[in-house]
Amino acid sequence: MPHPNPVFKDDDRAALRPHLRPSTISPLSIQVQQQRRILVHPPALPSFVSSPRRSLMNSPPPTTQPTHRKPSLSPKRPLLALLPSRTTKYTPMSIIPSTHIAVLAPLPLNAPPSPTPSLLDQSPTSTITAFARTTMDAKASRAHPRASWPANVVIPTTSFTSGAGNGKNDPAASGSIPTLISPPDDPPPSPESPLPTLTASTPLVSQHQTRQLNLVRLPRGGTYVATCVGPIQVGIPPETIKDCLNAGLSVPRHYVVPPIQSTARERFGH
Amino acid sequence: MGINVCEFEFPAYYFFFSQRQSLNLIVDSQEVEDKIRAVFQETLFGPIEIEADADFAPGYSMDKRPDLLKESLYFRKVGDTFLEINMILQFTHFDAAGVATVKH
Repeated sequence: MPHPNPVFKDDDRAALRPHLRPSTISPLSIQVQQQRRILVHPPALPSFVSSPRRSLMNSPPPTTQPTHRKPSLSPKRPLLALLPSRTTKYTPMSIIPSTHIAVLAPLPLNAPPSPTPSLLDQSPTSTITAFARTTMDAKASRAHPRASWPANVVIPTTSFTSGAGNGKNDPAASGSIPTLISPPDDPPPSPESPLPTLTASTPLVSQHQTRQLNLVRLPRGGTYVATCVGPIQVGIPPETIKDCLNAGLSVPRHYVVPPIQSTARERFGH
Repeated sequence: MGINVCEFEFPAYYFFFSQRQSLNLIVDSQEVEDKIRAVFQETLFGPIEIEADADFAPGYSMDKRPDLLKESLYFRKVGDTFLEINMILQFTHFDAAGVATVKH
């Protein structure tokens, strides 16, 4: 017997699901046809990083070289607890062409040095160079023991992806298990694309700098992308916040609203 | 009817009331932002103007009609704070090149 509520028919979910994937070329997709990109910037380093005591305590600058001690997590010094670890630095690392989400994130100091200029020194529209987040697979699994799937997926870094999955053909579309997305390879973008074309010889990013980002396909729809500024979710079907909570994922604070041209009826009733 | 793909209400409440943060919605244009603001104003704070003819039966006594606008303003206060939409929602727009920048 079919479900009495047409809003929650599975067919609707299957039809809607491709529109909430960053890698699709559906008219509702915000990445390929709509030529949408998201640039994510990491939190700026506070000015008192080199000398926290001077800035925080409003005391004169020290005459000797400040000692670099590990910030205390004591409640008496809450600001220092927010500082990034001194074992990290910011380095351009990766491209995420399938989602057009350029990410800035810390990279361990022992990583190979970058031969390329920083993204911050370039026009945002002239490059889709990204700072990739260091892999969170192992750490995330330990931090969120309830996550029941491996948080590790490789995103192609040298080609655009548009392989929209058909919900009916996609085994993940019919299941209730969050699925990691590994976008298939796609043909290159059209020449009139306003976005720069990424090739394997793109000089801004080298292969050894490539890192992985984590994309999670939520059971109720939408795609969860972990970035350095916190997770970003593409599409907000109802109750997807429960998917994140049940999976032990952080609830995204940034959401990409699908284009209004094709979803005005569903979202706003006109 | 269809599926709502912009169900931002619960995440917004989660972040505001639990995390003391605002939700960031990445939208296409100012038009979309205005529509979302209008919906959120209506669902959370109530209408900006009360239409007596539409909200009450024609024969209902004027003396018995509650001041709905005053009530809605009262419930927008949390302690000494007067709730505004900007406290709960923030918006990031895609520019002409289709680029949206999200900062921490």
